[in-house]
Amino acid sequence: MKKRFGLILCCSTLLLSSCWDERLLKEIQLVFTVGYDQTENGEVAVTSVVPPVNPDIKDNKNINIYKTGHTLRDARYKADLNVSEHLDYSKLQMMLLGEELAKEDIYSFLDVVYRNAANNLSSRLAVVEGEATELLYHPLRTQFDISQYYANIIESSELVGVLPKISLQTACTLMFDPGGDLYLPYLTYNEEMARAEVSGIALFNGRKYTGTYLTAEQGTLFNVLMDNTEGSVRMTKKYTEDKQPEVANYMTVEIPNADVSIKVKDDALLTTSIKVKLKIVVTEYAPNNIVGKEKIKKIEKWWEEELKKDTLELTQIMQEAKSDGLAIGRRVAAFHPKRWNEKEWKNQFANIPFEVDYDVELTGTGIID
Amino acid sequence: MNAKNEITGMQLFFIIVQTQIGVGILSMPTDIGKIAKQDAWISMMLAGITVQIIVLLYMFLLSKFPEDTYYGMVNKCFGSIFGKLIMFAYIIYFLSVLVVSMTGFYQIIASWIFFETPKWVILLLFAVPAVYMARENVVLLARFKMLISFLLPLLFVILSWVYFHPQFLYLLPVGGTGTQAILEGIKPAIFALMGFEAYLFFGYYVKMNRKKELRKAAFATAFVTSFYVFTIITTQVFFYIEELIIVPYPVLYIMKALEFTLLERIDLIFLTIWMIIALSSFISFLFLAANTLEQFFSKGKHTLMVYISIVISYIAALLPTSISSMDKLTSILLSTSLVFTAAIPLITLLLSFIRKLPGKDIKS
Repeated sequence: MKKRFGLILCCSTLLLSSCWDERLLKEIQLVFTVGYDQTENGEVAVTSVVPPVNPDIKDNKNINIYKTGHTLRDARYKADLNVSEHLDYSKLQMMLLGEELAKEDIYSFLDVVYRNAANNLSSRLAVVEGEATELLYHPLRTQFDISQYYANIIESSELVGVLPKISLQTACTLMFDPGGDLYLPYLTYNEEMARAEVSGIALFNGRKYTGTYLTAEQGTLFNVLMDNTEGSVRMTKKYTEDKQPEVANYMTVEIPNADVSIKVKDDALLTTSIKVKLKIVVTEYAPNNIVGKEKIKKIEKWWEEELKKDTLELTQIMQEAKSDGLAIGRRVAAFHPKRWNEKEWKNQFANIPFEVDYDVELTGTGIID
Repeated sequence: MNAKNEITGMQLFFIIVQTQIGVGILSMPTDIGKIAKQDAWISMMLAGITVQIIVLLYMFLLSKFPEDTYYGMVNKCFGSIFGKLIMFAYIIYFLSVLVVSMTGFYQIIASWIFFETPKWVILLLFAVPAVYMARENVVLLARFKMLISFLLPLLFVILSWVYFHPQFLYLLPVGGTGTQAILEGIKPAIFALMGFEAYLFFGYYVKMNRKKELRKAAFATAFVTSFYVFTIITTQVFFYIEELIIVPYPVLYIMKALEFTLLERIDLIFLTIWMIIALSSFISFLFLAANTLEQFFSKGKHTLMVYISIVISYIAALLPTSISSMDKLTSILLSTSLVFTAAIPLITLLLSFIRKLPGKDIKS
């Protein structure tokens, strides 16, 4: 009996060696960053950035592979003809979309990413000014490996609250939701520093890039309105005009907590009220002396006015671009289903009057007053 | 071997839960969402109530004939010729359930983890442990199910990550899809709950304190329903409904998209563990198929019958079929399943009243 059992045990190990699906690291090249562009003749250009295989090579030459094809898959297969190993996108961290391509229906380009089970859905997306390929071929002054650099700058911008966190998966949900629009980081190239730069948030209308983007400061405000205050969100504004040196005129505050309520009224134009309760902490203000109830009140009042002005400006930009990034439409669909018209929504959105109300509370001034 | 061959109500509870929850839960939110849209959870609740009523019917039958197995009751009420015919139909039914669930298992494994591994290997790896368990008696089966039940909360724990950034607005307006759609959504919801018939078959083995213990086990379906409602709501606050419709395995897709500090692609790890749950559901049906065969031929050879059932279903599952023809078989099976789970037991009960069978009085 024991012998038989042993025999069965030995034989059954044969079943365990599943070598059909093995993927050996020595046979593949992991791509961390990829850039997509539209070429003039309607093809897709794919630039894959592969980290150097041997990290000891000091020159740190990342390999860029540039190929065009009719579909993304097509271009990827063609790229395999140039690489000694098989290109593998399952560890992708960053996907850059060229401006021209982003102005088309971007879902058609991303479909392959969602369809393949091996892909990483938490990788980041960004729109690039000009061509993604061009950006990837620019020299970069960074101590990081270039293939990981882009994912890292996006992450650090998320940390300081300039960018909302958008992964491939969250982007997909927003693309499908008619009551809310997609927004992606907008990247440019800074010639002087020889680095890429996060310049703000690219606004989409449906699945197409509108061509308008929010600046980094507006991005911060947008984040506050989206209730993304988990990172350290900071704002700097000119508080006075006459102080010397110029730096002394500015006040920097940190926003540890925001409470946003966006409500849509059931009137003719669907008036939308945005009520924000903010707690702010002064982190930098050279003239000091923030004491006394009156002075604090004055500062609070001033911030309320400033933020209200900025928010109205922000909503106007979004309305002009017909980009409903704040997902007002989702609220209409949920609370006033009778008023909800999926096809007409964008035109309706462009004419919505906004009522903005801020309630700022100064809760701290650091360890000096 | 346990000579007693009887189980407690709690054990029956877990047998039913583990028969109902299988790979189906991974795709169920999409199937119902396609029809009932954001009100899928309402459909699921209504389906749960319907199934609960059927289970009450089972309870009634079981307490009317405390000495008989289900087939014993059928034979008594329909007469032995019709009884045999009905048993034969059940054999076909259970064998097709085996084939469908094997194929479902293969499809999910082939599209998520092992793209290249041949079908026969995957199915064999599924079949071998199933045989190993199903040929044992019902007591061991029940213990196995209780043992692996600690894996069930895993789904709950992983999915709760969604609630860091939920979109509850996607659930509104409640009832917005209309009564018609919600009612139609009950059909796929009931199919997702399939496996509750285990109550009828395994209820026979509950002997001590029969009434009280049977009542305990009747909560199994309520438990599964609430588990499913949680899953549906979680997928719907994560996906926009139009997106959910094109994602066949939303639960896995959510896990694929979740980001943890240490782990990535938690879906793969989860799927590996969840296969045990899927296997457990398969084992129940394999046991039932063998049990039916055994009673049909009135021989006491349970183990042999398990081998016969697995060989038949293994070969049938291997036959080259396209996805669409498999879908067809699945939909036929699901529509007929109501005959086997609701209609025949109901007729049995009615017949027992009409023919005034000397079954045990309900009161005593």
